[in-house]
Amino acid sequence: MTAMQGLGAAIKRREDPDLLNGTAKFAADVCLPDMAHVVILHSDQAHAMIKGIDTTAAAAMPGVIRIFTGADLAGKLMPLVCIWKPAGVESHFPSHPYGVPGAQTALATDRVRYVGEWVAAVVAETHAQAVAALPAIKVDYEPLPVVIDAEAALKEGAPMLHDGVPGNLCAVVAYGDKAATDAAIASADVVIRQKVSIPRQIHHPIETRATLARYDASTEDYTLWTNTQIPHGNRFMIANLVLGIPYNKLRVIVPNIGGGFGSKGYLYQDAPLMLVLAKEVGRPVKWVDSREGVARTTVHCRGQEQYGTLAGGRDGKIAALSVTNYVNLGAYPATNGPGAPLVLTGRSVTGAYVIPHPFYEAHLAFANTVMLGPARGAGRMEAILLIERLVDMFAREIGMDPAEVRCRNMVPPDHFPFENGLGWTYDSGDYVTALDKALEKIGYGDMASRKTEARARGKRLGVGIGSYVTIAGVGPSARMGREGLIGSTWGSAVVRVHQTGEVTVITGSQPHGQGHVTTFSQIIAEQLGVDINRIEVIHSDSHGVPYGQGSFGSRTFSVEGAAIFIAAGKVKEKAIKVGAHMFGVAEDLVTYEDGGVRLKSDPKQVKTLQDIASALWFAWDLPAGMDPGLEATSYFDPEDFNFPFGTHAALVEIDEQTGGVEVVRYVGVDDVGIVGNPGIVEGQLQGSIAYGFGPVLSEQVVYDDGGNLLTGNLDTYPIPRPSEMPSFELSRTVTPTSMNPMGAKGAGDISQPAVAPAIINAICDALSDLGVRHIDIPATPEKIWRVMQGQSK
Amino acid sequence: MSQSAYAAPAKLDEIVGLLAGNPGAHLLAGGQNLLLEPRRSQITGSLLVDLRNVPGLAAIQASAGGGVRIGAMTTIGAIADNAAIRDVSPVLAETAAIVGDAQVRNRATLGGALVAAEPGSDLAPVLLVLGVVLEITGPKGARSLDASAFFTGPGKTALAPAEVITGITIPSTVTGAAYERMKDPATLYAVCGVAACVVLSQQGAIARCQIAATGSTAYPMRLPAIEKALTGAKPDAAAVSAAAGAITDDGGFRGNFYASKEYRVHLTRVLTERALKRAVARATT
Repeated sequence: MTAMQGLGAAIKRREDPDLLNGTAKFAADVCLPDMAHVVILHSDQAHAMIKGIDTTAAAAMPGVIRIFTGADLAGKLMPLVCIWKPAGVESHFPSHPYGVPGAQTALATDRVRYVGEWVAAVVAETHAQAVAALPAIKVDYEPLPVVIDAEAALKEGAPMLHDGVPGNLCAVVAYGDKAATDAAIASADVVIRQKVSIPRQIHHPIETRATLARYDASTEDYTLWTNTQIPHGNRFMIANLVLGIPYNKLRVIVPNIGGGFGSKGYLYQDAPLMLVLAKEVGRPVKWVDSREGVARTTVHCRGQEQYGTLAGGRDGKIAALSVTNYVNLGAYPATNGPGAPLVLTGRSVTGAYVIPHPFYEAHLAFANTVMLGPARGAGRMEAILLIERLVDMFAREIGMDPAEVRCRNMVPPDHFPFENGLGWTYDSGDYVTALDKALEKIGYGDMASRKTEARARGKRLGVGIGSYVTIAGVGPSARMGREGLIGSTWGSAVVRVHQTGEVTVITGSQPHGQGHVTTFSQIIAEQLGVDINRIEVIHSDSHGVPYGQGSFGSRTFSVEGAAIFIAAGKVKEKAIKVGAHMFGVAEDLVTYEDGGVRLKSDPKQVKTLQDIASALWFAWDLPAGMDPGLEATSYFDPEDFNFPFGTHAALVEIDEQTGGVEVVRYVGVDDVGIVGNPGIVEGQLQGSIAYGFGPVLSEQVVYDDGGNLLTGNLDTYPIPRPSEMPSFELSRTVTPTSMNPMGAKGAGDISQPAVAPAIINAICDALSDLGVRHIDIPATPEKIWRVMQGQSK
Repeated sequence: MSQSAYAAPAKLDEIVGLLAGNPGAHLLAGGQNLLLEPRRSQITGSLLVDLRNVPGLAAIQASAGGGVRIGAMTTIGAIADNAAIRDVSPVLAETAAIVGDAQVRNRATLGGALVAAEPGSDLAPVLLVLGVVLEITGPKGARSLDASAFFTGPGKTALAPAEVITGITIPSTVTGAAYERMKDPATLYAVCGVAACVVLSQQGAIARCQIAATGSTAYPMRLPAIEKALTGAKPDAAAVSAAAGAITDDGGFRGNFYASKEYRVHLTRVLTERALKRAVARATT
């Protein structure tokens, strides 16, 4: 039976009955006796001094327990922190008393810097009473000039946001050899220049942020229930850098999470604030955000202004790539805000290609908007869209098929490990095979007749390719440290076999919908032959477990999973020693198979894992010098990242009159190495594509010039429905990696970057005879209509 | 939502009485608009009056003269699925089938959709071109109202305080009608939608036509200029195209960051042409 449950088996997810039956508990479901409710007053000003806050009338409203402003919190908590300090360059951040890069304060004190910034917290008996009191709080603002994008913020004379950040410049970071790249561009036959604007997007997981905090005055213990992707990181930052309390006085528990997509991988203001409020009012307090709150106070993502130059020859060979990127980090840095636009975009812009002379430069600025952070496909989506657009434009310029240009420049299978010139070492791959499969599946050779047929129906048909290489498996800790992360990214696991034969796995990962419990159970089933129903997976509670890094960056299976695999291997080694001892034979005469230690000479003779765990529990007769108990701990720090890859292809039809675009077919060929659960991997790959659709066709954050968010709810921020997407036709190739013992690469967010180029290249293909070279995302019907009219919007 | 009082009487006159006696009260039908509003803090009333217990309000039945009467509490989904409606007015059933999404269609009601008077309502322009008559009951008794007189502004209607729509009647079979739209990807309302209804003379000219727009205009409204231009004309492609192309922004159009006014005017022309062509083809056959 267990053979059907090991790695490679597409078993159903163990998590799903609880989720599908509606019995699963989320942060907002957790209630404590005597709990009070907190509602936050957001700034309606993008940039203003706070001259005064009058809470008198609001405090007298029914049910209001207390109202807190920034002034009430003086000395009780420090600003939040940014744990990504760009390495090797001068950088500037808001200040923090400990000298680390600072971020926003839980509540604004003298000044607000974006619409949505937290200004006051109402604690009341009920949520409705707290909401009712909000309008009665009177804030006296003195407006300041507003700047909402990076390039404007970096101009001379722009309004300054922070005293310690001259010219709003966080940092300028460069990778590659600029002089050599410029020289290669200058001497090239063909040079393509294109600005690619990638607007901000909002993650919008189904579940908003939510936090419940309790303080026990007798023990001075704090407990936090919150939906963070990094529970241990929250504990560490809150205790040591924000509240200044002993680390072991704070417990962080994460219930089920209703999606994160990267938006919950931070320390936000609610977590430390609720802990302080719980202590101040002497009662547990709960805060649950609204959908508008998600748009205004949870990070946004993407948001890059890229100036790309690609140079090459008429033979289709790319010679050089130069990119200058402007990125608005928001009014304050998010916990890891600088990471994605620097490393994830910057080192990834060469995509799947051998580019002899690459150069990347990013200018990070602060401006009067919500903070910026990574999202599914973080940084790489922006990089892959840019390179895939430039490659297509290059192909059209030299009159060569875009697929042929890709083929001529892709890293060949015998060139691995391959250094891309901007700091990545691609571990393994066969890029051309994935490309060929995708082309074959979409019927690439047969487009001319289809275009003619579509035109007869008033439609313009186009085909587009998105080839990608995506860094995953975050990551090697020392390397992350060199990039600027003030932290570590190894995996951790404990595997404990109880005397009953059941197994407990403790993981440092943090599942928020990906099916980790199932996949991790399969690792144990594979290694130890234990039925998955006898395996429990503990996670997301800092109490009594080793530090865990959480889930992000397509790291879980290949890093945290590897830690479990290794720990289970250690358990197996010990079990073999004990099993041989129980048989009274030498170790080399036994083997571990199908749930127990067997005599090689007579495999029917078996000491089951339960027999062995029991013997180690009694400890009456163990090999000399062996400790009792059957468990192992593993910390796995990979040697390097892993690099999944693939090619997607899209077929679009554009209405010639309205500009409306329909994606009629979507094909993906992905390679994530060896997989744990193919069903779960397929789900992740499908989800990545669905997540990629929104930004291409409809999603975008829009601010007006005054810094007001025009897309602050779901009436104005369009997330595509499944009915607007075709069936995704997916297949995989399998190229293992040597970066972990399972040969697995990341899968959670690696193919999202392919979606935008596949669809946008298809749209540009459909419009190419009109002279359209480029269209920025989102390709809304009006934008397409305008380019068809020869206008640019 | 703060705690609201709730009443669900079984008699229409009690409903009207409660509405008349509680000026802040709100009428609850399918709740697809009303239940969004408390979240947006726009509801000030303290009494919800639910129509669900009034018998017969969801009935669909044949009316005198070969038409069909549809009760106000009929869900949009039921309209889409009803054979009698499909016979009498295919365009209404077709349009109902593309309103919102399945969950919305299963809850939202015809009456609620009318009263909400959403600027991008899909059903509104269709009802405007079909010669629909609304049945209304209020403190002063029952009255009928031509649908064309119902929408008076964005979110505004000709209903007096405490009046309730109880049903609509499509007077006779109308096959020469069509609806075309492009939807807003966020709200699923129409960015632009155009309904056209055409009756041809025995000589094959356009004897009568009604055209109404939604989404692109500030509220669902008829387009009298193009109706007038086409009346008496031959319904050939050139005439239809010329008439649709003559639509201009007379001040009634709207725009936002997703779709500008200029683009919506363009869409109105394109979709008018398409709706008219389909309507004419259906009128002929």
